[in-house]
Amino acid sequence: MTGARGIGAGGWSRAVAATMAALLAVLIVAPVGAIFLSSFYDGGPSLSAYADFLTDRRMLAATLNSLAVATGIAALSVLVGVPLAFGVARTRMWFRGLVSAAMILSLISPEFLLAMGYILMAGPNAGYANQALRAVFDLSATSGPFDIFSLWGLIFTALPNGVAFVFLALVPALANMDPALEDAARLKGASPLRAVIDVTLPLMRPAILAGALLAFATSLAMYGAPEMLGIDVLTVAIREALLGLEFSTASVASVTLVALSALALGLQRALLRHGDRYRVLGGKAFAARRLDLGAATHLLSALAFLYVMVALILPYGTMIAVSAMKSIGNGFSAGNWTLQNFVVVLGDPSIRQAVWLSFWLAAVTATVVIVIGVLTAYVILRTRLRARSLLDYASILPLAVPGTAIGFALIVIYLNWPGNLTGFYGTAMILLVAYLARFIPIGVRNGQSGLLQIAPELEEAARVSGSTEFGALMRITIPLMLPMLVYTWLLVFILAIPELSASIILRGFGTQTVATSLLSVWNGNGGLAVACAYGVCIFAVVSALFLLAALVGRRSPAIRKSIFGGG
Amino acid sequence: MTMTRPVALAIAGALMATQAAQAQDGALRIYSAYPDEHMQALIEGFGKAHPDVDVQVSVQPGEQLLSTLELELRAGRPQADLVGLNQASIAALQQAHQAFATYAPAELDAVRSEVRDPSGTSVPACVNLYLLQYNTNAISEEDRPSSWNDLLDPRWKSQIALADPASSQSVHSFIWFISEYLPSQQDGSFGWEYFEKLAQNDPRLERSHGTIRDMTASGERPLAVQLLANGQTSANRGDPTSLVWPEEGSPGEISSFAMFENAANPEAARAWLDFIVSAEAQAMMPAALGCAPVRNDVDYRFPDGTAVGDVTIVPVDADFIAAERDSQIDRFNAAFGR
Amino acid sequence: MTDHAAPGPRPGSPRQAQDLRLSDVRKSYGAFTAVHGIDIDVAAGSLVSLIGPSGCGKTTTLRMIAGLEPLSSGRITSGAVVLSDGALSVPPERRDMGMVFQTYALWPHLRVADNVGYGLRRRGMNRTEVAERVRQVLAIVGMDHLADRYPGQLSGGQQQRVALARAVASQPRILLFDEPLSNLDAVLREQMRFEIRRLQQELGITSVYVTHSQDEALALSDRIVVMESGRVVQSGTPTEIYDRPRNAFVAGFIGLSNILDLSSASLNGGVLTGSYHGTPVMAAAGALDRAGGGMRRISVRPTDIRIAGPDAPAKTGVNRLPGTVASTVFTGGLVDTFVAPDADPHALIRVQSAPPAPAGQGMRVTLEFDPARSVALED
Ligand SMILES: Nc1ncnc2c1ncn2[C@@H]1O[C@H](COP(=O)(O)OP(=O)(O)O)[C@@H](O)[C@H]1O
Ligand SMILES: [Mg+2]
Repeated sequence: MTGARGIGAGGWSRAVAATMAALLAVLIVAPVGAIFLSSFYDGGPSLSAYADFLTDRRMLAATLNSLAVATGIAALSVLVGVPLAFGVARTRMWFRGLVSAAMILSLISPEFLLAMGYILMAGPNAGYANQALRAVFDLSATSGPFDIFSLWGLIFTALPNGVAFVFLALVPALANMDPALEDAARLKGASPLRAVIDVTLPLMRPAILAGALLAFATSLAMYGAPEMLGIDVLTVAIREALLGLEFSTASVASVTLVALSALALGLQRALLRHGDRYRVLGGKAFAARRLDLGAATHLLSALAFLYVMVALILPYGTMIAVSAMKSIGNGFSAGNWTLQNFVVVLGDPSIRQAVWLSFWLAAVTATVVIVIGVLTAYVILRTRLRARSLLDYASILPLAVPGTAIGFALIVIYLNWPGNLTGFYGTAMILLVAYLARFIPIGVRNGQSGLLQIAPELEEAARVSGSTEFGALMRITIPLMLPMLVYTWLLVFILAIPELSASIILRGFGTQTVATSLLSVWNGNGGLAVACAYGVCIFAVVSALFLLAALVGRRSPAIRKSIFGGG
Repeated sequence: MTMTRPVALAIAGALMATQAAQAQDGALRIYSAYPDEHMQALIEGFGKAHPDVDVQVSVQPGEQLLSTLELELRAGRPQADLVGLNQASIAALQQAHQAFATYAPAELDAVRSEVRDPSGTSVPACVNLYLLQYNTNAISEEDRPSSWNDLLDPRWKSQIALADPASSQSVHSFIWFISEYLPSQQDGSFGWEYFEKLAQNDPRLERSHGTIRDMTASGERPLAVQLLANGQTSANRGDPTSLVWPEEGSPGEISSFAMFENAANPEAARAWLDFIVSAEAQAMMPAALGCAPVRNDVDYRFPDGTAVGDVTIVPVDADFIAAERDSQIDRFNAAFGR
Repeated sequence: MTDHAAPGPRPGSPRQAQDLRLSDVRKSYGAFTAVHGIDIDVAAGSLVSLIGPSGCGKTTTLRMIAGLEPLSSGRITSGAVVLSDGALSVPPERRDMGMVFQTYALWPHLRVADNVGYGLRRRGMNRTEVAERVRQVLAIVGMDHLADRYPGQLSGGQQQRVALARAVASQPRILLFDEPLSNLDAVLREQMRFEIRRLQQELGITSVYVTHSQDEALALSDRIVVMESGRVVQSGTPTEIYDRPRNAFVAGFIGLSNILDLSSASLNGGVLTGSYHGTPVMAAAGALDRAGGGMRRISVRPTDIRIAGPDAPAKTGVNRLPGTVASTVFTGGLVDTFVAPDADPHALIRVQSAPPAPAGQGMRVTLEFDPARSVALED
């Protein structure tokens, strides 16, 4: 009924709003603007870049590939994610805990790491899975049956991540559903399965859509896996155009990519407009009731087993095995085992430098993102300044801008006047700018949901008791938001460590990050076995951090919910 | 305004940290296309004579390094003192930006004349040859191809790997050799038709020779057009691979170093260039960069036993490659129907 | 971290109560006007209630007094101090007020003692002084034994007491209450009502009390301000409002009331005379100065009507309406008798009397009521 309510009209909140507006303008609006403006510039205002794009066969193919891959991943993620989520939340299938854990690990394991495992498993000629299948079925062919270096291979590689998005969006929704809704259908004569299909699934539409569109958008933005598999998608095309210094091609490809992501996000918003039609929560907490589906339970268990194997155990198992090989060519043979690859990883100064830089960047990014997030959310929700809705839009803009496009935009900005005056180009600062732009939406969105849970009266009571606006924020609001802030910090930190798509475009001297250095180790600066050792170490560290967060969060219901209950 | 303090602090902290990383005295910063493991041996050798210089290396695949440098030069501030790239790429950058200083190390005269850079911009470090590498588990010694022409045999369909000129700088030497050099030697079966025929065998176009080395070793692509340096690495690791010196000969790509005009540490940069052509460093080249020394007074035998002093290396036409890079990529893509 | 110490004397020292004055205060949200230029005077040390139906602008008014909401226009002053003048406004932290929120707004991450002591620390008291004052205030509301609890570990009534203690701890110049009792059960509500009144009178703090409950307003207030749709409809002492409601809205909102429509009304001295569907009825004119074209409404409180037998003799100076009992409802302390008057059989007149029920359903009765207790309304 009421709009924003609050007392932030004083000089202080104006100053904060102005500062946030300036920061968002520099970090977000300028890059997005640069992408669009540079696409219309060719010595003067011009549409020639678009004309070139439309007649460039490889660019059109890349656009179609991007769309096909993202659509395929979104569709298959729903196909696999929905039964698994249902199985975990509502049935007695086996491996429920295992599946939940695997989903979270899939989410924090970058897709290029999985790509490494899958290339080793499903390379058409020498992939271990292919060799094993040819041996078992006595096939005379020397290649196949799987070919990871294909569109399907790319879809397959990004699938565990997409499935995790759908799963994590759906499980809490299923667990919170009022069982009376299904009971009502049962009383009208529906079988348990019928009730699920007729009542539950339609009610889950928003959650399924949210997960699917997240899968779609992240698949569009993915860079590492397609580049390793050699599939031309838009992100790879942008990078290749940049390598050839074809800025106008890169800008039109970026605009196309941004337009596709924005379309997906817009579609989601439009489809979820009638949110209250899907309100399924009763007033109280429910113990999710588990259905007995008979034989179908075993089908779900089999799917669960398959997922855990394919998404986690096989690829990482393969990588662990390869990481301990002297020569990848001698395979699983005696005498081919060594720990030397780990020694190389731990001893290499440039790897150490990359790891240090990534941790530093991730920590600074996470810290700045929560500060910007809280203050921007505060301006949006607690003041009546006219600019607040602009801040709202600006802060979520990067959701539609893939890292590759942000990287491109920052090159344009910091190579030209006045950005070049900062001297950021080629230094870690430009990476920081990119990371901030990428992760600010998480900070602002979490800041808003955290702030929404705090009644404005609590701040007002502090004001009446003699606190300034800033004092109330520091003593009342921030302490109350602390669990959310800690969780957001960890989330951004964990997501920032393996950032690849912007980092690789912006890397300069000594600004290799974990992801770019891992990719370059994979691409020959060390080799597959060392890369596997490196990847296994990174995965172990990130998982350990996550575990730590989960342990810390066990004390706080807010964190526990946000980590394990979707968000 | 009190509230902006945390933001300001965080950003100030960030600035300070990067500044601190840049302003180390006595640091020599090298951008290199040669892998870290190769550079480490050279740095150790250099360090014996110059213990006070802190050598820092940033490695990127050649083509990526080329574009990184291109952009940094446009921004007006290359982040390093030295760059390690092949002669053709350095020539290309010099043509566009005149960013490198000319420098002739004292012992340059000892270097074989055919590999020296006539412009004096780049200092040759070693010669890297294009050879055939094959997986000995997948291909027997009798079956192995012995010439570039043998790669056109349909039995190698889906078995070959080759670097993509759009993302590898080195492979331009090989493409020049096939498309320009061999036809100029009146060898009718080469030229762009070679690549059109090669395309029929569906070779995998990889982004870097390092990846190709691992694919050959694993058997994923058991046959590859590979650089000597990577063959050497494979041999060091005990990979089941071997090298073939093709009958038609090999283009010699000249791995080089050059220093920037406005290098922050020009003394150390010159010291590095002096070191590179020293007999001591040249003796390390096969083990370090995995390639052939450029001094005739340094003994080296290729993997097939040929002594380096006994062969005539065909040095690639760096100027042609630098000038024709884009059109060569286009012609290559056309030949492959991309 | 620059909280300003509030002006005024240090908490704990005796101080002069201040009045509070709202002049032509208006508040709009876009095109919608929530408060239409109201004037309210609160005498120093007194308690004024703002009462009215939900959405009439009470909370908005209170928040403007607290400085939590900017004014669209108008002035708020206290003594010689201008608190708000149009868009210019002293921020809440420098108004030296205490406020009890409808939801209590206790800070869940602070113990009871820290909740109560928060404002004292902001006003620059040292730790020992704060601890001492907190103990005193908690003792006043009977919560000193729970000082180390967190708000989440308290019952609703206890939370209410803590909120009260927090509001008065710093001896503010003005105390504001926004429906502080609406979340409590009936028994507790009554008890707290008296405690608030006792505390307010003991401390002598000028107070504004927002409520939509007539019982609370009547029991607590020195003066009552009745609001409707962002306007003040009537203000006065509880007795004035109860005995002399200006219109049907006030009559119905403060206490129960029977509204009778009179025709051919005429004003004669202090007395209004008219016809209730043919039966002559007289009422006190109150502030009314025009008969208003002959159509007038009067209000008669159910407790001011007596039920007499059908044949009771007529008395001069008493209004009489014969009728039939439609129903009786026993509500504990009182009996409600609903009578359909012969003059207008579709209407029902409500009568309240002490038990037992004076008449049963279907019985013929005569309703008698005093013109002096019947009030002519302005609308
Ligand atoms: N921030 C706001 N924006 C728009 N309308 C508001 C806002 N706050 C209150 N209102 C409106 O002003 C009117 C008065 O509200 P309020 O003062 O809360 O009423 P109450 O008398 O119940 O306390 C209501 O119609 C309410 O919808
Ligand atoms: Mg209210």
